[in-house]
Amino acid sequence: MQSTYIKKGGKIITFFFQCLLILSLISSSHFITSCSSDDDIINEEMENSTAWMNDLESSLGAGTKSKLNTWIEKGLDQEKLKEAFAKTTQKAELFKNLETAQSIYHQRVYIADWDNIPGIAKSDYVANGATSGKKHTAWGDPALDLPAIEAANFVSAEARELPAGTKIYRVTGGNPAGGYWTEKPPSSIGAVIGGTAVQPAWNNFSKFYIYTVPQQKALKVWSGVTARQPIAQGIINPHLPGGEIQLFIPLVVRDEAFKTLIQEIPLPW
Amino acid sequence: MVNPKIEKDYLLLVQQIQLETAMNTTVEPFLHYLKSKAESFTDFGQDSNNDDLLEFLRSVNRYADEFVFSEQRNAPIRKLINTMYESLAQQHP
Repeated sequence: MQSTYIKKGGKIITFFFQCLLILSLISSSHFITSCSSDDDIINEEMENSTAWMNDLESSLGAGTKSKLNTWIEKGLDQEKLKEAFAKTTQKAELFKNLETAQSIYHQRVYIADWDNIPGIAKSDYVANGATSGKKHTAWGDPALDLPAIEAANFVSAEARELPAGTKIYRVTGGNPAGGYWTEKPPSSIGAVIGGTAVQPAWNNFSKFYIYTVPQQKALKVWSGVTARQPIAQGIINPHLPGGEIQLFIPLVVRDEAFKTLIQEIPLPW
Repeated sequence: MVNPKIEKDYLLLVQQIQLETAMNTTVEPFLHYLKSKAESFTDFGQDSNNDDLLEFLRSVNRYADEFVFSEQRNAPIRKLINTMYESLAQQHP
């Protein structure tokens, strides 16, 4: 009798554990199913988000997708990039422009990612540069005049002689001994692009130079408020507002002695 | 529409930059930039906007500031750009 109860009890316990096992199998299989469906959604979203890159890879050739991904990794906005390619019929031209762009700021001009170009003004460009060149009679040398085309880069300009010890600065990826400098070191890349109205198409902003006026010398310069510039050819809004004080050093002043005193220093940002 | 003097100066400028490019290939992007508006300076039938061309020349001049030209041609290149700019500004309506 006792052994019959024990046998029945054993069967009930076995049945209980069997049920528990089945329930746990059902629930775990449901969990696996639900996980895999989340994965499918994620995979589908990823495929959709890069489908446009695959399309470009097919039309523009192998390596396109890899370059697009590299630009995105370096900070180019994926949505803006996608949008720019979606909008243009000249996809190969846009791609080539992005490949040969001076910097990420220049790439952002091509994809109209205005939110990520520092220093720009989101309003219509209206020229405010001086309309004629200037002479400084006290200097008495036409080679020191401010030509009309340089005057157009100033709201107004005055002739000055910077005394010995004055430090001047220039941000460029090109000619260290160019004409345009500032007396104040730029506080940010926005101050260069916007404040001194330097189009990203001209300059890659990769190097920073300093020149110190030597003892017993003075540096003849034209100084004044930087005029506005379009951000790129044919674009009215946004524009580069200018507003910072800039210097123009006449070509004749930028002689060999001037060039030898230019030093490269680390970028301030 | 540009006048024949501006066209002549433009072609001379292109020639000078081509000579620079032959000596120094880093100048090539500047040549491409300069030639991007070639039709506006050479095709008299083209109804070019004077303001646009003035802005273009201003841009050419600022871009030129990034390049190192040979001692021999640097000043003539700068002078040509300014002369074209002044000529265009004078024929401004």
